[in-house]
Amino acid sequence: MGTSILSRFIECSRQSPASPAIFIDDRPYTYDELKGLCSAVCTLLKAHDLKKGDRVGILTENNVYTYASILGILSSGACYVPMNHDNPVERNRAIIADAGIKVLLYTEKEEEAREICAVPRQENCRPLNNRVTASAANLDPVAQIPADLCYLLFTSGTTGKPKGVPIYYRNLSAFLDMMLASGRYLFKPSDRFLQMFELTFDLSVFSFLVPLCVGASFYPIPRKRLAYLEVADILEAGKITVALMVPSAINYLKPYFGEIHLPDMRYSLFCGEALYHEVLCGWAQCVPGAKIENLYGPTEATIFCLRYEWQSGELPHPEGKGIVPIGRPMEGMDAFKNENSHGEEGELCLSGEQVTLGYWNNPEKTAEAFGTTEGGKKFYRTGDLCKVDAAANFLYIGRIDNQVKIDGHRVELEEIEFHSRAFCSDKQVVATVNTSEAGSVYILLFIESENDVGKDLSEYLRKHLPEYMIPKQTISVSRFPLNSNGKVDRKALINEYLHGDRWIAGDSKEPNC
Amino acid sequence: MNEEITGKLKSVFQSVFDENDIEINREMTAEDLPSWDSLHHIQLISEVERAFRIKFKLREVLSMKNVGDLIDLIHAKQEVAA
Repeated sequence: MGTSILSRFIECSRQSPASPAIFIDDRPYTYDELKGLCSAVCTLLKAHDLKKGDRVGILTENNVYTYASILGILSSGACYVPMNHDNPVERNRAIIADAGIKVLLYTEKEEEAREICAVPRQENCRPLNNRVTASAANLDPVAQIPADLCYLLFTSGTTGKPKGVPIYYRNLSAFLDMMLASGRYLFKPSDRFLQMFELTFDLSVFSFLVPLCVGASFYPIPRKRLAYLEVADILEAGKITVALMVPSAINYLKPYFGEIHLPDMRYSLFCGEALYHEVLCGWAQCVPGAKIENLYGPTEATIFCLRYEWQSGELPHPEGKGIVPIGRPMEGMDAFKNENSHGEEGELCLSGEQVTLGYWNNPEKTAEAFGTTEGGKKFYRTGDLCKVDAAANFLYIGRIDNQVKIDGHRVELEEIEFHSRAFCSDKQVVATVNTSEAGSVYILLFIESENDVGKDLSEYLRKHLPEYMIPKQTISVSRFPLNSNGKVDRKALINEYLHGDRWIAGDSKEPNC
Repeated sequence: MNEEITGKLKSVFQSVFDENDIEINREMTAEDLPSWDSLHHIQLISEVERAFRIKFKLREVLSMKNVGDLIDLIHAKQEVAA
């Protein structure tokens, strides 16, 4: 079962070696080229004494070596751990230490790789260049069993430290079986997939792995700041037929819907955050021939596991508050409301083969989020509040905690607050989100301070957090409102200063909170 | 003419990025400002459209490589309008 992931790719490269697998910067790389590079990376790793289940880091770059490395790592029996070189060094080092990474692959960023590998008080982690020469040798992957580790991703954690989510072959195979063997999606070798995600984001696994399993090609978008806008360019120029996107991407393109025409699109899929009916109606005009689906799933349940098929011309859901439903569990998965929930709303829980066992090295968080039903079924508590309509479709209502989504990235507001407090000598801080005029969600931070410290704080936070977690606006408030228990009243604060339109900022630029 | 555009554009940048000491030049790109991402770019484009009373096409937005391109495009649009 385990090797079937790679054997699908190997079979495609045997059948159509000259077919394009990846288009990067207009340059096609064939299945044969990719397999050759993958085989060379696998040989390189084996020479470094890596054992089954060992974690190998990749400093991801937008090149063929990065993708060949992922497949090469899996072929060698190791588990891949993607790392973004734009993230603060400290954050990447924390991942190296937590995951116990022994080898970090890189292509161009040698200096960064060396810096990240130099983790204090840590066994040696070796940076290794993955710019290999394609090997003609057969790719012979190490056999995997369902319980073997496949990839390890880190998401925002409430305690100020990223949280590792391990995905096993069992989980990924279940996902791929659902995508490829259920007969629901008819992907063809002639399909061209969009790959708009950073490899640290699990939606990327769909966008590069599914095409490689069916002999199709994929188009990664260049890793630039304005990447979410440049999606429009690739969709058109690449005549993309399958696109999984975060709703933010079409939200950014909303002013230009009238100029976008994508007749080749067959599947227009959305996942990662709330999808708004109104925006989708506009988008549907751009993709007249596409099947449109809203997908749902946390990293812990492998990419996505609920689906809603949206029909052109349908009315907004009467209970959806403008948000498209997240639908029903996919083949092999089960979704239900937490047994303890009263009334029609409850926490969405997931069970099935796609759900991982628990967090990496984190029994405490695992005990909080993973449970067993009275019937003995293991399940994951998503933290998402939902209700179910008469047609058994799940509707997303909100969060039960302070997790938010920024461009599809999971962000625990507590993680931002943790680092902000460290900078402000433990002054009170409250992180929240606001929506811009154009409908985009961004982070806003309140600090209990007489002075405006926004700029210095941003500089500090950039050393600890990825860019999407940096507050776009900081508001200094001389005194936070308290509730009857003497705790900061987040709701009152947000209502008063945000919705009441009272903006307070001091004149001082001193880094003095 | 371009100085006039640059001056006005600078104040748009200052308000969008919420930084009063921001300086702009023709070679500047999104890579030069840590907070210049897709969200800020869309805000910037819409504020520029509002300030200069012009409208950009998607193709134009995507083809701008730096602040110089933006200035030239504003200039060209104003010429047409005049």
